[in-house]
Amino acid sequence: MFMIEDNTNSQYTISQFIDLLNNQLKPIEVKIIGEVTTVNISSNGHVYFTLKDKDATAVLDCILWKNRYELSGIELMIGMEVMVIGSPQVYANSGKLSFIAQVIERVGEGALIEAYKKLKLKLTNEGLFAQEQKRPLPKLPHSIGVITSKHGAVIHDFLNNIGLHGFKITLIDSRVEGQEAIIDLSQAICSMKKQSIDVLVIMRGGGSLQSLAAFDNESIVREIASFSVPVIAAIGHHEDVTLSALAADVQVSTPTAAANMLHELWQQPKEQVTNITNQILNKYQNTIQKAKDLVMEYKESITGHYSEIFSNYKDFEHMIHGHVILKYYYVLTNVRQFIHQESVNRIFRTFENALKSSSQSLYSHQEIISLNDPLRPLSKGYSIVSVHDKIIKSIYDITVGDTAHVQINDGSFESSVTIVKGKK
Amino acid sequence: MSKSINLSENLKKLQEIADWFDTQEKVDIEAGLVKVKESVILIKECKIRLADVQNQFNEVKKEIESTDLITEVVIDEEIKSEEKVSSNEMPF
Repeated sequence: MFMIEDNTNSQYTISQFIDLLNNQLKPIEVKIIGEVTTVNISSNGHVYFTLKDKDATAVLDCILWKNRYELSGIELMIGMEVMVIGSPQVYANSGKLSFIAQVIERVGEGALIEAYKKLKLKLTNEGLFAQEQKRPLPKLPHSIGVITSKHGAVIHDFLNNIGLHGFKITLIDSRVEGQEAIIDLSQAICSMKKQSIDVLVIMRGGGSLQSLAAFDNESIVREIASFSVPVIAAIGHHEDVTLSALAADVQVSTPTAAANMLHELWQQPKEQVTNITNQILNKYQNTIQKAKDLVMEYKESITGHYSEIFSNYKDFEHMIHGHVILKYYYVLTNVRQFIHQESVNRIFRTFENALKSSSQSLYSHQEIISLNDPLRPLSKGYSIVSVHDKIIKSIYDITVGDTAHVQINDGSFESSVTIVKGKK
Repeated sequence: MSKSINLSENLKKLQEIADWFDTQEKVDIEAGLVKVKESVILIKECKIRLADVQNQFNEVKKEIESTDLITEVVIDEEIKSEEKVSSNEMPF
């Protein structure tokens, strides 16, 4: 394990050699248990202490940097049995080997319980766990910060149960077991502070007091309590709830419970969104339908009105036909009849008139005839003399010796002409 | 073409035409014909616009219904913790 190549042909300066040693020593990370025999805290906060085997004389100078000491939550005292994790290193200026402890924790369940109770009391008195300090989870968290070990079932349980809500999940992988986890958790929390997240979830399964020691670490507890956004602690229990869980805004016992909690925050609004969406879609569909109906209504109304015009005109036509035309026909018929009658009358009248006229003319002619009847003067004593059927109108029509036929009113006679005389 | 048709305006005009017919005691056939011709154009435009609106609405509906596309929860980003402590310092 500790191997330096055969470099006898090379020459080193002290610094080079110490660098060579340190390069070889650095990977040797070990866990050492010992009893504190000396403690010296420098003005800058770094802790120099000596560990010694309980039943032997072997000693080891150790260094614990200030921030690691603060993270440990331990108040180092002589006689305290501790476990340190770290690696050896030679300091060039003194050539002295020291053990650089990255982690320190008290040894023994009793000591841990005692430390837990003491710290719990202290932080409770400070009000770090007070309910009024708890912040509500954001209504609709989108960016979720997760600190846990990416190896193991915890992260899978969480992801399988958080639901399909479009979360943006930022994971920082961290050791979660034992004192070694303190540094990882502290750095993870510090790094997560720089991320834009809505909620932080810190998770690990249950375990012993020792395995959950990091979650009872004062520094970690304080960082959780003062984290910039609400923290959900899904940390399994030891016999008691871890102090980190007490400091978190929400504590649940499993990663599934944490996932369900985030899922629930979205589920209700999601249902609301679905309902509202359906309402909007239905209402708008109704609006479209109403507009369609309205268009049809107008179409029917307007065409109906216009059809009514034709209907009215048809009625009017019927009315014309029924009343005017028939009346006209009636009148026409009457006129025809009238004309017919009138014609007959006129014919009759004409005929009558003609008859009258003829009659009158006849009478008139009759009268004239009567008046001009040559026989008429016979009654007054005149007579008509003829010779050889020729009426004698002149003395030259007759000669003596002629036999004249003399017609008188009531008969005639023959007479012989003896004298013919002319007028004087 | 159908975008330039203002459905509300057309419906308003149709309402006016319908009202005109309602208020006429005796509809003049010539004036009525002008109104009917106008209403035919308006109704045709309304139908075109409504069909267009319905299509657009159906597309929006489809889009809304297909928004749940997430099928799996994944870790969007995995970041490394920053080192807070430098162990190179030896305060002797």
